[in-house]
Amino acid sequence: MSLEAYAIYKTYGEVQALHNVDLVTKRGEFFTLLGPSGCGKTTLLRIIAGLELPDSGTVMLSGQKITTLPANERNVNTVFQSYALFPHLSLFENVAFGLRSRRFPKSEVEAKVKTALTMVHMEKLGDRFPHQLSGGQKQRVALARALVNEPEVLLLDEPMSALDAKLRQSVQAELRQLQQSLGKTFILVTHDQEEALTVSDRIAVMRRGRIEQYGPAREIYEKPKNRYVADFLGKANIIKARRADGGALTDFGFMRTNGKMEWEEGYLAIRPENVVFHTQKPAVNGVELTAAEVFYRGDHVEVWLEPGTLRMRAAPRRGIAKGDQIWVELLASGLVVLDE
Amino acid sequence: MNSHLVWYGELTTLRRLLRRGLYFAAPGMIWILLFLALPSLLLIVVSFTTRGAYGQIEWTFTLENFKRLCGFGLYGWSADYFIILFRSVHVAFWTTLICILLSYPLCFYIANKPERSRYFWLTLIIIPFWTNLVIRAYAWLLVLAPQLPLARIANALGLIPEGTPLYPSSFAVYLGMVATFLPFVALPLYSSVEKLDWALVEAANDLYAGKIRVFLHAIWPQTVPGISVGITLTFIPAMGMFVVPDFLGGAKYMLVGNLIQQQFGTSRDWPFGAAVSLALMVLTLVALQLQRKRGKKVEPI
Amino acid sequence: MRRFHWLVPLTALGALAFLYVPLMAVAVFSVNNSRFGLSWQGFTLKWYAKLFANEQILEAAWNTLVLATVSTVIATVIGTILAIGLDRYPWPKRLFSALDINLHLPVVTPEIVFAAALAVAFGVLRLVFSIFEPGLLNMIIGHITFQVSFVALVVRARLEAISKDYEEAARDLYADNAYLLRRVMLPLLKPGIVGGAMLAFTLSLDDFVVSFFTAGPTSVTLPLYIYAIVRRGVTPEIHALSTLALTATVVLVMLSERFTRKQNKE
Repeated sequence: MSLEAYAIYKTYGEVQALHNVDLVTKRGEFFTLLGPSGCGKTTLLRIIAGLELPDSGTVMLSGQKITTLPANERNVNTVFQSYALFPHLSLFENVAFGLRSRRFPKSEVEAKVKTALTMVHMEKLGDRFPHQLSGGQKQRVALARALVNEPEVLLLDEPMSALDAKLRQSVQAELRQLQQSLGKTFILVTHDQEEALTVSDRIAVMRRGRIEQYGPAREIYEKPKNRYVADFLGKANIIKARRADGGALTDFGFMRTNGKMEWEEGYLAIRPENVVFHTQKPAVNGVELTAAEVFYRGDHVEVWLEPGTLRMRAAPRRGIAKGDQIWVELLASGLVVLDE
Repeated sequence: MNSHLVWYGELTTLRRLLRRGLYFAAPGMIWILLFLALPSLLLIVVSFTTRGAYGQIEWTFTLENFKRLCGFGLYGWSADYFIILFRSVHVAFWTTLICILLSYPLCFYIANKPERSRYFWLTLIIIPFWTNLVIRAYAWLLVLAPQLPLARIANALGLIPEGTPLYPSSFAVYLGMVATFLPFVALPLYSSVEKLDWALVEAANDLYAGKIRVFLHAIWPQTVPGISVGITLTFIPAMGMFVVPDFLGGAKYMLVGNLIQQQFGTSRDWPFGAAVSLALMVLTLVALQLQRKRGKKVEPI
Repeated sequence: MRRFHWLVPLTALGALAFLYVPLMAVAVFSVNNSRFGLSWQGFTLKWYAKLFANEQILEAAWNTLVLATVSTVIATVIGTILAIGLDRYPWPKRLFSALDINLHLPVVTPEIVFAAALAVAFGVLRLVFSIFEPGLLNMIIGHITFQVSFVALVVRARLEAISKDYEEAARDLYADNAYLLRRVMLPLLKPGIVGGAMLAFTLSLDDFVVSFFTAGPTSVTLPLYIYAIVRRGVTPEIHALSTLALTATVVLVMLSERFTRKQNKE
């Protein structure tokens, strides 16, 4: 049990930012709140940090209620989206801030700050000032500044949004490694689903103030609960279906599915990589379609199949060309039943 | 939740926040109330009082001062005071206008200079801006003196007799006023001109034949914010100006400022001085209102 | 570079000349070796020397400096906390409008009306408290009144630019109210506070109207002194004094330019 939040409601005027949100994180896990802007993920994070007060609900840290505890008394630290490094203080002083504000003795401050800066590979730059740093460096310092206080939970508000794509990938990996080596609970907020998949142990996908689904990254990706989640994480083909004995009836014919249908009519989802190329008719779940468009993507080709709106991925060596009639199998294990 | 809120990261109640805010804001607010708002109200009250025999205030309330202001004096009706009021508005208006007309070319010129030297030119405007008003005003006494070229030329043209300076005169007053207020218009205008989108001007140049229409349609709207500030900084203070007319206008060319100063100085007629001040306050408020209304009209462009 | 009609540079340079001719004239005649009349009689610095021997001028200079310093210090403190109080607290709309109008009163009121009001107010106060005789105290009070607004406006502009993030980050890092104010707010506000103080100081140094209406016989300031002398009859010492003032202005403007440019770099 690390950080928990129960029945969180938050409204701003007319807008309901959070609606009955529950969140339970495990100690030492990397948890991500994923969603588009306006879904409430940042609001939830700020409530955890103490920078907002929920209209109702409870927030607990290691079993202690902290809902009404002011931000400056919570054992939680935040890395802000803008990093918010104090421009008038050196890097050293920035990192030392949380320690000095609690009147830690000088020697201890020096030691801890040094350790924190070393942890983010910035130990030689203690005398520099924020305006002299690059975006990536600022992020490291912001991390150090938060972690030096040894919080129980570290909150990160879209920390990579200011970095360019290439840098982002290496930073994501480093962040993951750091979290693992520290064994601390990290809660990350982002709209970037690749980022979420790369770093997280568990992900909560949010939409308009509610958590749509949460669980381990793999589970969310392979078994999305509804169209929204399926579409948000990676690409998904959505197929209309009607319940049938042992499977479902679709426009492509009878298909075996992964999971039981609770409905008569509904939707199935299958990821493009689970629509597999066959040289001849497959044993199950097969359909013959035309390759309407073929897009070369380097490590794979994306094929738009007609009739219908199926998109698939195939290895370039298959040599699929526009206009080809091909057989594909909708892998039963990948054909997921959606809740709607 | 019990009316608690988080404000800039602090968990507290609205009441506690506003109480602290009051501690911060009260000294300044009270100071201004005590030493500006209240005295102004007092001034209004005094404008209805009478001047005592020895120049003190006698608290008998009357409309005498305002009647006097409207011209009903001891010797029948005269428009003297009206003339002074009108003259002040007139001078303020023309000063502002001339300053605007001079400022546009000045600002265009500077904005057109390479970036490095712009600071230099701006500094040239900023220096007089910060130089003491009294110095700048009396300096004109020197320039308009009989021995110096300007007066000599005027003499040669037959405009003034030999050996007299070009002051006191309305011409001198205008010179002094424009020279005083030019930076007040030029500097705010410059900040607008600097941000001017010349592409629009080029486009207008293609559309319109006359340079004036180009100016009106492409340049003027973009510079309105700067001009507004300039006008506020010039017109209202100009109406109340007294040093410049005092040095360069003499007794015959009085403006409102001189009139007020006279009541508080030699004439020792504070009630009347208060009444004139009230008149100036009213003129100021009218000018401010017009400014606001005009600002709203320009917005939709 | 845009090609302008030749009238533009002509008017521009003409306007600049217009601004500087009087000042140059004063400077030139401050080194003219002639007491009366304006014909050139040779270069001399004796008028400057006479300045430093002139008791009245020295006293006026001293008064001007004391007045400016005292009023600036007080106005900067009051103005800074006023700005913080107005900007960083959740005032209800109506109340805030009223406070904002009050803040702008000194800026919008014509100086002479303000000065007249002060003269009347002090006149009445004098009947009760004798310390309100025209003099330095009245002048300080008068100066502070308009300085507070300017300081508050400058500091507020700076305050609005300081992101909420810094304060939230400081709270996240365990700062309490006092620590936040001392270690984050005030340091970040420093350029605004210094700018406001400099503005207030200059406004006081140059002030004429308010000083005129509140000064007493022993509290003459330089602008008042110059005014009095000019009314009696311009002297070369005044030219020297004015040229010195002009030089001081030039130096101060250049220094403040350098200061703001350094600030902008950070």
